[in-house]
Amino acid sequence: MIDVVAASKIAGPEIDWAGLSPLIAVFAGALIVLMLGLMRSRAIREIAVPSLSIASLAVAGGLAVWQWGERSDLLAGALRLDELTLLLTLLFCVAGIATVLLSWRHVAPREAAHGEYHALLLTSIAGMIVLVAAQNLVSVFLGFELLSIPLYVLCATEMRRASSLESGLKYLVVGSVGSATLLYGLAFLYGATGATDFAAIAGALGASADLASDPLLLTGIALSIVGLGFKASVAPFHQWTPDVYEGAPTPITAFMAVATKAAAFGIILRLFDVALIDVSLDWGPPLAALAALTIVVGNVGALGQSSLKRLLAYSSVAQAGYMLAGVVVASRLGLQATLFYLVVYLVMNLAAFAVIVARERETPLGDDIASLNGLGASRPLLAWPMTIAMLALAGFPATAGFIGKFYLIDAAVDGNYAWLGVFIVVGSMISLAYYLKVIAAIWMRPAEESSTSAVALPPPSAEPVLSGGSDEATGMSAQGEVVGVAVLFGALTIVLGVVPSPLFNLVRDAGEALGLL
Amino acid sequence: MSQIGYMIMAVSAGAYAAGLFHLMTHAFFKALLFMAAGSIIAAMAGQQSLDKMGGFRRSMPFTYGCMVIGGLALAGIPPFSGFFSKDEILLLIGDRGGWYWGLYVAGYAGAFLTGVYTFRMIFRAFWGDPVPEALELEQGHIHHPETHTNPATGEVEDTDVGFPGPEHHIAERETSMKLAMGTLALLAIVGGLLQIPKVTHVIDHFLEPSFHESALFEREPSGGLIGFGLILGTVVGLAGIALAYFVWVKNPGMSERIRERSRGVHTFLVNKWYFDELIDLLVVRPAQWLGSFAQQTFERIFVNGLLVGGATGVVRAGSSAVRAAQTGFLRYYAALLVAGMIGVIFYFLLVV
Amino acid sequence: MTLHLSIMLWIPLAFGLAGLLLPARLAPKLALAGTLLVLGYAITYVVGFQSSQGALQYVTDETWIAELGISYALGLDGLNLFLVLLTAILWFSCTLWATFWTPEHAADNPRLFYFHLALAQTSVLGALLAQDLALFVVFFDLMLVPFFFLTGIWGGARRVHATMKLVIYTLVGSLLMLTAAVATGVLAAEGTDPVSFAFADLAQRSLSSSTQNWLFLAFAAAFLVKMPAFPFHGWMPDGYKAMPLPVLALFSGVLSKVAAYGFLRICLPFFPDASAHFQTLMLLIALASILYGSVMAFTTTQVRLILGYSSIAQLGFIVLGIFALNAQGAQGAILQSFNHGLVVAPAFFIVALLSARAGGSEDLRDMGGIATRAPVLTTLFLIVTFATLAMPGSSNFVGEFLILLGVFETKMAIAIIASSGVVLAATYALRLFIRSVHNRTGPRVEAREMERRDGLVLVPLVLAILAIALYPQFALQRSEQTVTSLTTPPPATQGEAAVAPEFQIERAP
Repeated sequence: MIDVVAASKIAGPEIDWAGLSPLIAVFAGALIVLMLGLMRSRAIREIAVPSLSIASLAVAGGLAVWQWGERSDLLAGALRLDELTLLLTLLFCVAGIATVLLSWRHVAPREAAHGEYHALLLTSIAGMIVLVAAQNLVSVFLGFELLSIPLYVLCATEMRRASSLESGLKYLVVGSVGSATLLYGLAFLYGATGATDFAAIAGALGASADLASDPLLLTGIALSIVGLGFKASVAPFHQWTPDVYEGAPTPITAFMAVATKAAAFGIILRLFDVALIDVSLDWGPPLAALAALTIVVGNVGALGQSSLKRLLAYSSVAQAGYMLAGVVVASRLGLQATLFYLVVYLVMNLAAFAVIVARERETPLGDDIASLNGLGASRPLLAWPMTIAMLALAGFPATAGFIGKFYLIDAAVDGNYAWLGVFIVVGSMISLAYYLKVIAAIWMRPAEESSTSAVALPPPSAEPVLSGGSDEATGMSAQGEVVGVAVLFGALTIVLGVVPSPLFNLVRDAGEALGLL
Repeated sequence: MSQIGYMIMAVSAGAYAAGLFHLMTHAFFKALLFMAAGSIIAAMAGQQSLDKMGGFRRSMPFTYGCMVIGGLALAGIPPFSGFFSKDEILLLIGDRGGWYWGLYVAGYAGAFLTGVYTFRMIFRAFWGDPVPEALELEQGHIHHPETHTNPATGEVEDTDVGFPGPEHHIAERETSMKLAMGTLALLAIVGGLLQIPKVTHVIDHFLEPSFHESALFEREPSGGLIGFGLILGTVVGLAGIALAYFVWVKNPGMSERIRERSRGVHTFLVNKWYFDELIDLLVVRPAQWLGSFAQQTFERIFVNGLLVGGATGVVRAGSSAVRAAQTGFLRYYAALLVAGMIGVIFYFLLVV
Repeated sequence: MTLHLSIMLWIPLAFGLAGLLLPARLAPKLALAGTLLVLGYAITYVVGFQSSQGALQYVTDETWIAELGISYALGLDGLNLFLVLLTAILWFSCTLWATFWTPEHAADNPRLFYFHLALAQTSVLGALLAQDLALFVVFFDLMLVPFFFLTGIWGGARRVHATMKLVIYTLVGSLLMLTAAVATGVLAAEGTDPVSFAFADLAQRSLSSSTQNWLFLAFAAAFLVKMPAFPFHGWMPDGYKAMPLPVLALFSGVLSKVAAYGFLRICLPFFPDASAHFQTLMLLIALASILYGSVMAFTTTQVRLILGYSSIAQLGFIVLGIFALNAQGAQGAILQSFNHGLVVAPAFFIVALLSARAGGSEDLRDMGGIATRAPVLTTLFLIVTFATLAMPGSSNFVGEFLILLGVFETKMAIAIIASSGVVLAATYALRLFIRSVHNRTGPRVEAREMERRDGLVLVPLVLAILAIALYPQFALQRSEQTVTSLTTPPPATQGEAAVAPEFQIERAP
């Protein structure tokens, strides 16, 4: 093939196979899984397909580790291979593996066909990798859509449940508005600077001083903020988050909460800290204001919630606000703090969502907080990870969440945004009310009578289950993989809270890769 | 109380050793007096009122002796300990000169009154006609009432929960009491030897390390003043005893006649100068009012209502607002998104 | 000697984790063994402490998070030595108490109970020993977590509401402190110095007065809420009513002292200008705490709240001493912190005994008249009461005297008003004593003497009270050097030193 290209004198881009290998692994995995899902055998569909997804993600992760330390452009400058990309690639792979484990026995893949479910998941991950590696406005949009569209479908995979379909549709419509806005903004940026490449944009902004006040540019920046802010659940563009998170199948909610946010922040960091770094004094204050608003809205919104998924949705809005503070300061410290918090956030959230998945299957209460009542006495293996996750999200010491918040406040104060540090802390104060409520339910409330009885497993071809929740409850051993995810990430939260240095090293490399001050 | 007044007067005037000396001797004779009083009260089956006592001299000789020793020491009669300690205080006060002479006079006036009241008590309790309880005791039997009632309120005692009970111990019968009172009596007699002016300086030496830097500590009053003080003290004390004897032994009924004629003054003094009522008005009532104000009003309204309730109220209001905006309808989400977008655009175009 | 402080610090947690994993019947014994070991260590440190040195002893100094400038630094000096001893003593006594208490009240999950007690001890020790600002904040915020669980799971009526209120209210202050702590580290390293949170480094660096002011206020917010001081005591009534008594004894005895210690360790050395600037305000808050706390204490009939409000008043005295900003006041404050903790824990234990003899009621109106049948209990209670009201002869008297002396030298008017607090203390302490053991027996009372196992808890504490009462110089002498270097008196007071500036209780000749 290379010969043909060379022979026909078309100048194709130099292809760095090694650099692209993680991406290729994921794409290949998606294709294979899709094909494999067509097989009739149940064993293949229910066991081989998820296993293969995990395998391809593991391979991608391994390749990313192998490539660590490389800093080069891929595909003629469309994508950038550096530690930022690789760190986030690893993050996506971990999130993906966890999601596959959580959906192993879930009703959603069964209803939507395993092959398609996992292929969509892998494709979305591939899109995320493209997004965070993007160095070019077009790649940004490409990655953005590639990650979003599979997610629209994935949200609706629990097809017999109305709220799942509703969430998918809502995500589709609102997401399209967001994508359109982003595209509009990117187009304006191109129009103002005459280039789509980040480096070229930065060059154009650096070269001409009055470009910085060009209305075309400013509108472009504004629209980009809106479009990306929508994806990252920044207020006031956050309103899709509670409904979509609550309606979607819980493993997908977990995936969205963790990976989509990481992807969105990855590209925000790249776009604003590489392309638009010269006008950081222009976009800093409005982003800070949005961050403050997000923190407040997210935290107060979570206060009255009785649905755990909705509570965690609002909480993720608030956490997005915290992470935005790291973006606002436009410094290396801020970049590192945001990346650190993204990883820590993944760990904390996956522990929490794993417990929710487990309880959804054990009780008929769905994701209501009451499903956690009495967990401390009856299921310590689920109680402790959830407790640790809640404490970490609230920012209590000895958990990774504390270190993350500390880092963010450090970056904020260092970047002369001390007031934003105060907002982070005020947000944490308010968040205590709902995180502690969850912990109180686990340890301080007696178990509901209905939660202790095991519900019989319905045969696959029987009447579909209409209520949102109990599809199977065959006891703890059958959910080993879910409990395992919960325990692993719960332990990791504590470990990272006590020895965070390895993560600090990773994040520092990523920070150096972008070359910020 | 009045002896404490002497001690404080001494220490305030710089007569530290004298104050401490009086503290010491006062401990001896006052404790002795209290024990003796307890012995009599026991003989009276818990009755403390002097009005009901009389004539215990024959039936309680030991108690009587102790009380007399204590009384003589208290009144400041030589050679008892109280004489030396009280006199030293007044000596050093007079030595200061100036307006301290007023205190000097007041001190001796107090000594006179001390003699009067101490021996009033002794004469009324031990002299005169024996009361029924004393007569009973002369027969060899301590008085026991049928049902035990609280002498002050008349309430029937419940010995099960800690009232004194029917046991009454008098000094004449208990060896332990005799030992204690005897020791104190002895000390009350000889205690004065510690600090005889110009002769012994035990307390002075004891306090020297603490007070050697004080200007007032190393004073030596003149011999004339010492002699004058010693004689005056003796005379004043004896005069007080004599007056008490005159009023309560020689002329029975005289105290009632005096009381009749000065009814107002008597009422004022019997009610303890209405001092308790004054304290109640000035201190206790305001404190109680302050307490109920704090409990009822302040805690409820300010601390819980404003600080805690206010903060949580604001947060809850915010929460309702945010959740109310989540209508569930896409059109509103999109509308708010567009509104936010316009807001951001306007910010960038107008402000930046 | 570098390892030893870490050993004492982590022993409780280690034993607590072991207790969590091993069979339930071993948990009380393990917990008790852990506290006993810590007590042994604490006594060793106190005995081996060099009073002549003002610097830190038994220092540990490792890097924890290099990128943020946080080090794992521990050390003992005059400020925290006796608080560490207090922690060790009280935890031992209260764990012993808990071993009687849990079979009846926490039979469902005793292992978890002892784990949380142990975690609490490690956190408190960490906060006291930490020589790094971020490490201090870590342990300070961590202290609250086990108490959240202890109150919420095994507390009394409305425990969940009470514990949420308690934790959130306290954390409002503590989280402000977190921001201020980060800001302190970052802003102190202006220029090319690497950011560092270690106290040793922060002491060398300086901050501008305006920065110091808001940082001081944030730290003060955290500490004042923790103590609690008026008017930030809104969490106290509900919290104190809901907490299990062994836990409450620890909470009231030790945690409030960490807050007072925080003022001495952080606010005075690192924000000296702000401390002087806000001195009058802090003294007024302290005064208000003393008066308000005392007034509430002698009007309420809930016995726990009497002790709770009295703690507000006593902590008010301690703050008064700290913000006299001179050596006597600080010495008095440190001594009084130790004393109050030592007195309030047996007081709560006695409350438990009194309540058991009043049909389970904790209302003063239901109590009374047990003295005849329970003379030993009454005597021990009397010693504790006298210590509470700072009767001359007790170490509390020495502490309060030093505090008042310190304040007299700087702000005489406030000192005069604060002296009335001593009278008020006598009022509420004696009221509690008299109405619970004297007079007629209350309507629901069944008087009986205390049992031998109660004596095991109470007698050592009373002996400790008596011991320090006999020789308070033991504590004063060890804190003197550190305090003197902490509080260099301003020039104005040095000229008028009529009373000896370095006041010491002289030994009797």
